[in-house]
Parts: sequence; C-alpha cells; structure tokens
Amino acid sequence: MPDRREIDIEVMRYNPETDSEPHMQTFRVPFDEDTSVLMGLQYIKDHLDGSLTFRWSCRMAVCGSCGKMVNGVPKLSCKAFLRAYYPGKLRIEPLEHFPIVRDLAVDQTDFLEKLEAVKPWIIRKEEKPLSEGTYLQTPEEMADYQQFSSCINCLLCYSACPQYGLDNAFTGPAALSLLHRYNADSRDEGKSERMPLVNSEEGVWGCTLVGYCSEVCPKQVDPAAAVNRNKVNSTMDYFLRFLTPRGGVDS
Amino acid sequence: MTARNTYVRPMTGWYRRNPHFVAYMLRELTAVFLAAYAGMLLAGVIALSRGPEAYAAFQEFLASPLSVGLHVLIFIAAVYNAYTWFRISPKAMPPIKLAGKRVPDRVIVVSQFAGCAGVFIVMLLLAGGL
Ligand code: SF4
Ligand code: FES
Repeated sequence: MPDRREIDIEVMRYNPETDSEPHMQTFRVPFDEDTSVLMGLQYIKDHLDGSLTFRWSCRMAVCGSCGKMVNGVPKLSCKAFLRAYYPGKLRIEPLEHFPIVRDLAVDQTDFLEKLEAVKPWIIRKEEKPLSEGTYLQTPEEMADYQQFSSCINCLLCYSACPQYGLDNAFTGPAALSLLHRYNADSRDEGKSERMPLVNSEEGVWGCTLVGYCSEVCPKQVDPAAAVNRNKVNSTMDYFLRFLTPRGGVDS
Repeated sequence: MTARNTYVRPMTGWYRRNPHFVAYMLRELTAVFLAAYAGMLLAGVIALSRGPEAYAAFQEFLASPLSVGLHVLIFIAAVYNAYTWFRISPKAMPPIKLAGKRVPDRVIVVSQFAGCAGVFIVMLLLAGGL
C-alpha cells in the first residue's frame, strides 16, 4: 500500500432549512489510483461529515444518478478519478441549471416532466395481438436509433446547455434525443404525435448548437446531433403539411 | 412539486465560465463581421449606381489602410466561422450512408475542409494566372 496521497475536495453545501445561499466547504481526503470522485465524497460522508447529501447508486456509469460539476465540468462522479486532479484540488458543485435541494442533490422534476412529454415509448396505430409475435427489425433499422437509446438520464447534457440554463422552457438535449430515438425506430408509428413538440420554440428551435452537450455525454448519445437533425425534420414537416392531404411527415 | 426551499444559481457571466462557451460566443460574434462585409459589398453596389465618381471614391476607400485592415479582420472571422461550422456540420445533417454504411463524422468534416481548400486554390490560380 505505498500509494496513499491526499487531496483537497471543496464541496458546495446548502441547507434549505437554514441557508439563504450555498457556501463552499473543504475536506482533505486520502486516495489511491482507484479512488473515484464519488468514493471521495463517500469518504467525506463516512468519516468527516455525515450530513453531506448527494445521489449515487450503481458506481459503474450505468444508473446516471451521480452527476456533479467537477471543476466546472459536468461529470459522472463514479467515472471520474481523484488521481486525475492531483496535485490540484477539486471543486464539486451540484449539476448546473437545476435548483439545489440540499448540498449536491438537485431537483430533477423539470426534466422528468419533459421526458414524459416526449412520449418515450413505442406508439402503434394498432397494437398487434401477442399471438402474432414480436415486431421485427433489421440490424440496419436498429442502427438508426441505437446510439440514442443509450441515454441513462444523467442530466450532464442539461448542465452543459446554456440555453436550458437561461430558459428552462427548452425541452433540452436528453429529452429531445429520446424523442428522436422513438421517431427513428422502424417499429414506431407515433411521429405525428411528437412533431408538435419538435416544431415548437421549446423543441429543437430552442437550440443554438452550442454543442457542449455532446462533449460531456458519458454514453456517446450525441444529443446535439439528435436535436439538429430534427431541425431538418421539423422544416420538412412544415413544408410537407402543404403538400400532403393530412400533413406531417408520416402521413 | 417544487414547493421545497430550493436554491437557483444565477446565470451571470455564464459565457466566461467554460472555454467551450467562450468559443461559442466568438463564433456568434463572427456573424457581426460577416454582416459588415455584406454591408461593404452593398455600399459598392450603391456607389456603382450613383455613377463613376462615386464608384471611384469607393475604390479609393477599398485601397485605404483602414479598409485593408478591416478586410484582414473579416477574413479571419470568416475562416473561424467556417471552421466552427464545418466541425459541427455532421450533427446538423441526416446521416449519409454509402453502401449501407454510415459515413463517419470525421470523413464529412475533413472533406469539407478539402473542398474548401480546393476552391481556394482554383480561385487563386484564376486571379493570378488567367
Ligand atoms: S444524453 Fe448523454 S448526457 Fe444527456 S442525459 Fe443522456 S446519457 Fe446523460
Ligand atoms: S453511480 Fe450510477 S452512474 Fe454513477
């Protein structure tokens, strides 16, 4: 056990019962090659201050609940390592652009409502009975949406999006990526139900292609691509409605 | 259910907080230079319509150090603007498929730069040689 170094972790604290605004508090934490930022926070909670509040679950970049700002960059704290910041220090804040509930925990309600609004499930005009078997799809058809289905709802992309920070009416990167994931699925027939949201100011047109969302995404979803390809779809939808009897892309 | 006593952080100075946002704001700023260039071209057309004297005055302005400096600035802004958009353009277009396979983003970006360099060289040759 030769490798036992220490690093300073500065954490944003906010107690909704007593504080009018957040403040920073510094802890000194031992670490080695394998200590993740999340483990650093757990060390603080277990040994230094049991009241420190933050979310986590899987510790392996799957559940999407441990997102934090680490030195100003949105990161999954279980996928970032303390050694990468040594000999400097870390400044850990709750995910940007979300209201702080307590310490590092943010209120995700707004995102959850947006996620529901994009109808992230397969919509069929008519469900086929179970007896007829599953809906088939070729590998090529699957490739059209697969990357967008990797989203773990970690919200890093929302913290990377100044448009969402400035006006949270914007549906935002992950919800629009998931909308696209279903629109691009050959088994889905719900495009016309989702297009009004795509077309609105709160939909893809709220995006000015800052592009940082795609850089911070830990799952290579590339939300900026999902959003901006739908600007093309939205434009097509607009013109097609004059040309087709019932209007819209999939009629 | 946002009745909890939550704290919302202010957005003041957000564009200074991260190098990505600085680069984004610079990209947006280049639009001002491009608009200035369009304005200059328009001034030329107006001068032309007003007769030979006005046009000669416009040409004189073009040759002035002020105009040359401005053109250099606008050229740099235009190159930066093109560079930023070329880099993100694969995100803004539907995926291109060749023989059933998706063309990688990098190939799209590089071919845009190559195409641009090609046009630039042809124009230099035309201006110089022919
Ligand atoms: S798109 Fe990427 S960054 Fe955004 S919530 Fe999904 S996994 Fe996280
Ligand atoms: S704890 Fe699950 S993604 Fe980090």
